[in-house]
Amino acid sequence: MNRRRILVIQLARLGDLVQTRPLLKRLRQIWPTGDIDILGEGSLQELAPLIPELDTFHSLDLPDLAGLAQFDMSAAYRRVHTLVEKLRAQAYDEVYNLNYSRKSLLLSYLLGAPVKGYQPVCGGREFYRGPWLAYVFGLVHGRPFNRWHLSDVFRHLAPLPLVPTIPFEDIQREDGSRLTAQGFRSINEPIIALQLATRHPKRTWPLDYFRRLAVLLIKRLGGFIWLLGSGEERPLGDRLMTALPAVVRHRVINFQGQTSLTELAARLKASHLLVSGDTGTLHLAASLGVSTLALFFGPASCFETGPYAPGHYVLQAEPPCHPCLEADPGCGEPFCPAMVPPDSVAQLILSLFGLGQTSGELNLPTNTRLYCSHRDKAGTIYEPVPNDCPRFRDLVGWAYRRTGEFLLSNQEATSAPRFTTPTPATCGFLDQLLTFLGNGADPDRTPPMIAAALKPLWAFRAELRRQARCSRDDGEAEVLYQKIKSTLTHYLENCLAGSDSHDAPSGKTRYGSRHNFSPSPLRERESEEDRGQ
Amino acid sequence: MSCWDRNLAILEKVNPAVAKMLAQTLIPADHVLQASRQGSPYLQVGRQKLHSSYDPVKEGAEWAKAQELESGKPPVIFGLGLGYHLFPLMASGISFLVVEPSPAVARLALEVHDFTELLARDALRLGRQFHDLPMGSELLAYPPSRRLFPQLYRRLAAFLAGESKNPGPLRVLVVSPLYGGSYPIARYATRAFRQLGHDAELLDLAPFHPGYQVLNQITNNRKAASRLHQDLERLLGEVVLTRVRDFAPDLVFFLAQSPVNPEVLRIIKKEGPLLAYWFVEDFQVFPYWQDLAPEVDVFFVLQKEPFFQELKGHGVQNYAFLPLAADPEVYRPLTLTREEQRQYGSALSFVGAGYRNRQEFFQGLLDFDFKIWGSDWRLTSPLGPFIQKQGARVSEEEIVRIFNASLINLNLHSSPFHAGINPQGDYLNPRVFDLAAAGAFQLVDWRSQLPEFFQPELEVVTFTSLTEVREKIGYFLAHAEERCQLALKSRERCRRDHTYTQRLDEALEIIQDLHPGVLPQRPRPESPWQSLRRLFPPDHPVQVLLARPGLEQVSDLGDLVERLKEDDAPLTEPEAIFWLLHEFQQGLKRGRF
Repeated sequence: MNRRRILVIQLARLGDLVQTRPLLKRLRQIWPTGDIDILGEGSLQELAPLIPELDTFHSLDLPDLAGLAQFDMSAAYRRVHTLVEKLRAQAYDEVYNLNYSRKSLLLSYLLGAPVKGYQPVCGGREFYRGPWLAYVFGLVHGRPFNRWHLSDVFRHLAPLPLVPTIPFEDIQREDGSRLTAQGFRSINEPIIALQLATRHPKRTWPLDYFRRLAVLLIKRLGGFIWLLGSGEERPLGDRLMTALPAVVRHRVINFQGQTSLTELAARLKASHLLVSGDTGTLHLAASLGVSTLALFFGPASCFETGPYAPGHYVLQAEPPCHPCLEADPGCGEPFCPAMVPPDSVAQLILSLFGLGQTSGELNLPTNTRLYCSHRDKAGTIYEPVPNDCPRFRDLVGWAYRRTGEFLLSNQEATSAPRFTTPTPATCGFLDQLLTFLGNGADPDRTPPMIAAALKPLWAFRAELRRQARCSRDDGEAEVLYQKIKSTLTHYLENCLAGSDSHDAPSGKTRYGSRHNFSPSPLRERESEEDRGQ
Repeated sequence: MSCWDRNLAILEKVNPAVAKMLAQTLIPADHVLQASRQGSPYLQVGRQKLHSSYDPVKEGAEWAKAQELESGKPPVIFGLGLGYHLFPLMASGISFLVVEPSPAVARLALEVHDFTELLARDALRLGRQFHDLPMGSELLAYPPSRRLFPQLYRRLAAFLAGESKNPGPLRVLVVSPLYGGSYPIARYATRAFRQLGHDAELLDLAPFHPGYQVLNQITNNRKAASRLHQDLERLLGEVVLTRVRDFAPDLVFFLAQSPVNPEVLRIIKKEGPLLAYWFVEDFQVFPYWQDLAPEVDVFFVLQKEPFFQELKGHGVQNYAFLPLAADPEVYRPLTLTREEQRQYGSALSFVGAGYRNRQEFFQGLLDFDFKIWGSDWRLTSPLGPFIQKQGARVSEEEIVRIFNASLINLNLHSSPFHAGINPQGDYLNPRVFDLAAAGAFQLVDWRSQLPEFFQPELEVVTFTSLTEVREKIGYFLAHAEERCQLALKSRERCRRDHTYTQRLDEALEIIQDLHPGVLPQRPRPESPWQSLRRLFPPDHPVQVLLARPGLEQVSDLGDLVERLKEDDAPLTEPEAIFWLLHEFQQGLKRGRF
């Protein structure tokens, strides 16, 4: 067989590139000797050596090209043309377009190779998502119910490997259990890295909270705090340093703007824990096997973009409006950052390092949850710790995830719901949802909570119909929709039945203690690269 | 079949636009056809005879004989006259092109003689429509025509010599008044300058109007009030001057009532721009022109004699006739909802201020379904029940709706000196053009200038008395089809000949003629397509895309992309790359890539 030649187009930022790695790993498993290349943003090319699955990083300098397009059209034209020619010359067998953007659509169109992911149709004018991305597109319309990680969304664009790399039993064993070893208990002076800024103010934890956290950690844990980030973010770190009491300041080192991407990776590898919002640094750390504690609120949802590997912790504020949209004008008074209080973060970190309370309740505000990542057959999933009483959105989210698995494999998922008993009110809502689903609910006459839960399904159908106009048979789209609808119904019924008589042992759920927080201490983990995910 | 019919039949086939224009041309009273001694008719325009009154045929033959024709391109002859000087050339098989400056002269010529051979070659151009003639052609002047239209002759000569005198993209500052009838004209003028390709800016002084009004309420002391007004005027003068210094215009274009006095005009003049003032007022009602006209470089007016004499009497040399027009983007036919039709519609309507002559005249129309819109009406008068919105001002958009909703729109020119119709009324108010552009049917009081602009009774219907207007209202209410036909014709005429874009184009030509070489001739910036095409070698695939017909109207990449979205065919490589580059440009604007 000829060597397979594959190009992955990922023109987004650091975090997105890192979250593309699981796809690259899968491709590498399927085509161990193939050429797997990336077309990525020029400033990220430095990361290429850290991605062993990759053969060539083709670089596209987006800001430079944008400037050129503004001031020297013919030079910009020639540059694009040269790039397209160069890529065409590679004669790729397939192109994975991972960005829902006009730029990557047109680029993939220009390459002329078969495209997966966001495919150009209608002469290069329209996007065609295919059923899987259409399903994910539906879930984007009901993000509280989305339980598909971005990395898995990408990963499932590639065909299933012929030989499953991790047997199911291993997955079971891996969940939670791998963190029960000695961990960092023996570390005297741990290094805790802080990533202060995020891309968007709505995701950014207040600087004063970081200051309080740094003080608490240094006082209680000893060790050092490293501030990581870009040069643009350095004023934040300087402000933090100024605000710190002199007695702890000498234990904080500001590396912001002092590191290249590879140096950042080295710093991350040298630290014992990274505390960060939803950032590229966070994903890079997870990809390098560094332990992380992520602070998620506002538009960030760990189900979608939490660190991608088992054993990572996320403290997530989940008021009813979570997750909100970055693009929305914003709420008058964003209260969700305060739902992740620095004292609780410190308490959790101390527990992870075997200090403070090792068990017992973590002091968290109502609607703030601690999550830990696990791996199941479909990828990475976040489960609450402790696995408390499931809410409506948890159960509906579970059903949507299982339905997604069915869409991918055309087989019903084997795992049964293993939740603690939902409250009667939640069961009532589930019951209502099933009724509306069975009756062909009308969006205008459905109660808001039920409508929100059905929105992903409706959006999926709308997208299938739109795509049918481009390239698919309308009837086929409707058959698929009906199949998905009945699968979803099945899993929702399963939730309801499970709530009465599921087989979780009393007091224990699948993922740990029900009532008490007993975190698994950290240990130095091997990099995820070798784990074949 | 008459000469006219034969000529017209050919012309309709060869050049329908010119045919239509000539068919609609009215012959002014000073164009007189008379029999020469030899017998053939000759034409006199004002005091200028276009041909010999003794023997025009012989005179024409002598002229033709005297021309030394170069071989090569057919020559361009300036002046059709009645054609006597052209027939000998036609008889000897010489091919030529003719530019006749006056449609009225051309119409008379076509009524008198057979020009089918000339017309069949599409060799006749009218007025300024000569820009398709081959440059470098030899120009032959027919002297009487040249004497009648020296400026047009100069312009044609410059065009053929390749020295187009059109000023390059100019920087024009249009100064508006604070309020009033000339305020919207400032906006239309600004848009027209832009449509002509100039960099025009409107100095909009309307925001100062509330302050101006407040001053009236500050004090009862007349002296104090007058001082306050003077201070505000001084401030506004400073505002204009500051803007002139910032914008550095080539031309400042003032509309009537803009807040400038001779002193301010003199200071602005020192800053370097040419000053033009469009006095869109009745000179007999508003005498302030006497102060301003001598201070500006061109004083545009709506009236001719005796205003011209008056201007000369005040030592003003640089004045010119520039009539009003319409902005077809504002005044346009609309489809109204039933509710709008109910609200704005009536059998008869009038929009305008309640001048005395209107207050009195309209009392004779109160037995019709009549709505009166506008301000300055006395609600306590017998007209009270007919006045809409309690005599509040109506917005431009409302006016367009009223024009469209009314079966008959009455247009009575204002006059403070008359009880009803002003029998000496000359210039046309903006409403004549606005109604025409909106495709509305109007009844307008007779004005001596009207035939220059519309064919009376064929394009707009006129009246000279209350009895006549009542009769015509009755007739046209009963004849909807005729009403629609007339409205359609007046709209066509208005769009063809009476838009602000055409007017201000004329205005710039007049300025050029009066002050040759003063307005700068900057090179026109290349269209984005021209510059793009230059960037790529002639055999580059991009050239195929950029040479596609219709693309010259596309102003930027965004426009091109909009077109690409509408097409069906698969994107070609150049198309996809241009679309991509547009996305990059957008990314730069958003600051996100």
